[in-house]
Amino acid sequence: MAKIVIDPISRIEGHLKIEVVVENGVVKDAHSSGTLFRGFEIFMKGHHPLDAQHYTQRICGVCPVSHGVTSVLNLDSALGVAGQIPDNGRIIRNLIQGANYVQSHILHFYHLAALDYVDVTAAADYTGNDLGLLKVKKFIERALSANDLAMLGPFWPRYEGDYRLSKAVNQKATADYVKALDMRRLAHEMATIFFGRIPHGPGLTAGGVTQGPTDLNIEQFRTKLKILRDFTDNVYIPDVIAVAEAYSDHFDQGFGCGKVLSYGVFDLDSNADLTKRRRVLPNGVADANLNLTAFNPQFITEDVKYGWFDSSSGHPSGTDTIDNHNKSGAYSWLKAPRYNGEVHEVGPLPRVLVAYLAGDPTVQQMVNDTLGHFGAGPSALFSTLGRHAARALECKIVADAMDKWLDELKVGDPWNVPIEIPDSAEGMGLWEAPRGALGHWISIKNGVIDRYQCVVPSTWNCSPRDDRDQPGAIEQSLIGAKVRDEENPFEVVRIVRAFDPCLACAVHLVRPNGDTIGEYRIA
Amino acid sequence: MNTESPNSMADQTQPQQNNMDCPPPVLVLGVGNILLSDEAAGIRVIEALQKLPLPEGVEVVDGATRAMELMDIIRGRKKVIIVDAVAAESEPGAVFRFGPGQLAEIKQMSISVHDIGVHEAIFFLRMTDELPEDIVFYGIQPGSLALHEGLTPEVNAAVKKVIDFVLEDLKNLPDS
Repeated sequence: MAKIVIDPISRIEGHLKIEVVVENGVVKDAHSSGTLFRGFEIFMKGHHPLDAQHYTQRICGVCPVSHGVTSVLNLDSALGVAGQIPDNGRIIRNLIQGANYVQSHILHFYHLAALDYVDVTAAADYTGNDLGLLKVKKFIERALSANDLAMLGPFWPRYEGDYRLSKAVNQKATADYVKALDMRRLAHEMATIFFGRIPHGPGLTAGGVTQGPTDLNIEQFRTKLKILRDFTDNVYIPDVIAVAEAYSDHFDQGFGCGKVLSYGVFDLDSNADLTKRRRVLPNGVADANLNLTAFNPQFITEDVKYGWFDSSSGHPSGTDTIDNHNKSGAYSWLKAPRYNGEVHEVGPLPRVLVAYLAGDPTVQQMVNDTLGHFGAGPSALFSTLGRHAARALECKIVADAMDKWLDELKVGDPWNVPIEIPDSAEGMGLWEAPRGALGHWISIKNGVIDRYQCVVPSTWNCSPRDDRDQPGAIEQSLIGAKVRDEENPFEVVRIVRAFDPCLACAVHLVRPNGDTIGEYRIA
Repeated sequence: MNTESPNSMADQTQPQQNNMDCPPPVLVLGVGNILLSDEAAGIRVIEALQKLPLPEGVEVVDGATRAMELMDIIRGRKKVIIVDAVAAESEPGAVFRFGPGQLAEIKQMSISVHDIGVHEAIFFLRMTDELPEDIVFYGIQPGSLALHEGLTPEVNAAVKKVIDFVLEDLKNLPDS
């Protein structure tokens, strides 16, 4: 019978191609290309404004919640109800988003990133009685006795040459990898309590949410949250620290562009002006010298010089999406978002750093304790390990906050306000997906969508060069990186993966003369 | 992990309000991307089955292009039938029936939540020892993966064949 592969054609496809030029063991140049055109902004024209949040949730099966919340914030402002969201509605939005953060961060560390550092084959020598680990041991033994490494699936093939953890730590991390599979499921279940479904749930609406709090749903949420908090405190964060101890030189790798941006996330009030809302993780702009400046959404622009677009560059409230795949010189389906004309990184590191510099005592203590353990300060967040550490600490910040929010829900109080669709209006939604700053802009004419623009986190981080030829955040983090063995470029993979790019990703290594050294799937 | 802990995973994470504790014992799962013409073959089979009277205890699920969630859909079943497009280097519309042991090696196995699918879900369930014993795949060789909806005639004919195969399998269910 013919060899059969469960069709990888559509589902295993690089949406992001990173081409890295390596010369004498150093990355000389890097180009990040988005290889998929979506066109959401184009087909939403003419549709009912309230449909926007359902369409935009479908931009992504991984962070639909973030698009949903950003879209209803956008609609809140366009419909004139941004200042009237009831506390129950505000808090339940936070809870839905928080559940998604916890799921996303745990999944990223264990199932996407950990295998770059953890040697799962250590499970083969396990002699204890952890059931999960014994299953992995049996699984590895079956593959070895069949002499078929392909049976090891995602554990194999891998890049060799830099596995440093002790056998005991490798075994513990492998057991936790299995446990984390259950944890991400539990976090998804927790999100569905108020969201209705994952992905693409019906729980959000302009003006609030579609379901109010009850004693039962609060209790169900709390029960699951308790397990997830316990896992975050006692498993996830310690595992990140254990990896960091063995790979502490990774605090010196993947520095990046040195500038970060956060729109802020998790509302603490319903100020009609989004930029003035108090948020658990506040908005702000910061840099590696630990300067913090105020955030102004007017400074956001998107450049298209190297994108396959005929649109003009400019602020997202006034630009269009006009595709042209024949544009010469272009190399990406991503635009190049910039803040005040400069490249900025988005994600957990920016959010945690901005909160730290804004003076949040909890965040300061967490960061100081964690990085102090390595003799480093907050500027060490600008690194491959710093990004993982920030993500883990943020998971705890969010999980702890959710427990308090549950206490603030008031059964019987309203959870949304009535809305009317205006004939014409403009709106803006600013929020943070697990992967970083997310903005939606709408303009309504004749009661329907006239223009809708989304500027998404991975567009910030994975952007191509801009109109001034400045490389994007990931491009900059790679240029100058050392690659010890071109056949096993684990350094490149680790740098890119620490950003948690929301695109399946293929890395191509080439020599300056254009010889391809290899192609490496990294997500 | 402290296995003596009273809060062990087993008794703590049992879902309370959905039917995941005890899903219907027989699952027919179709996966595929309906936007890429013949890639939708598995989904078209599912859509047809959803309109037919089926024996008790059978759940038909449109798995679309879902990834990790497929694990949660598959685990805990007695019998699983999975329908998908397969790249078997045969003529368009060729139909295959095979077991999980015959899934070919994918050398460039990736893990990304954005593009893992059936293969990785099976891998994880095998790793956690939760793969149902009775699992069968129906694979249909696509003729076109062009970016539009609709099947080529060869694959449309193959879909009809697979619907009959699945119905036949469902007639011969062991009494559970």
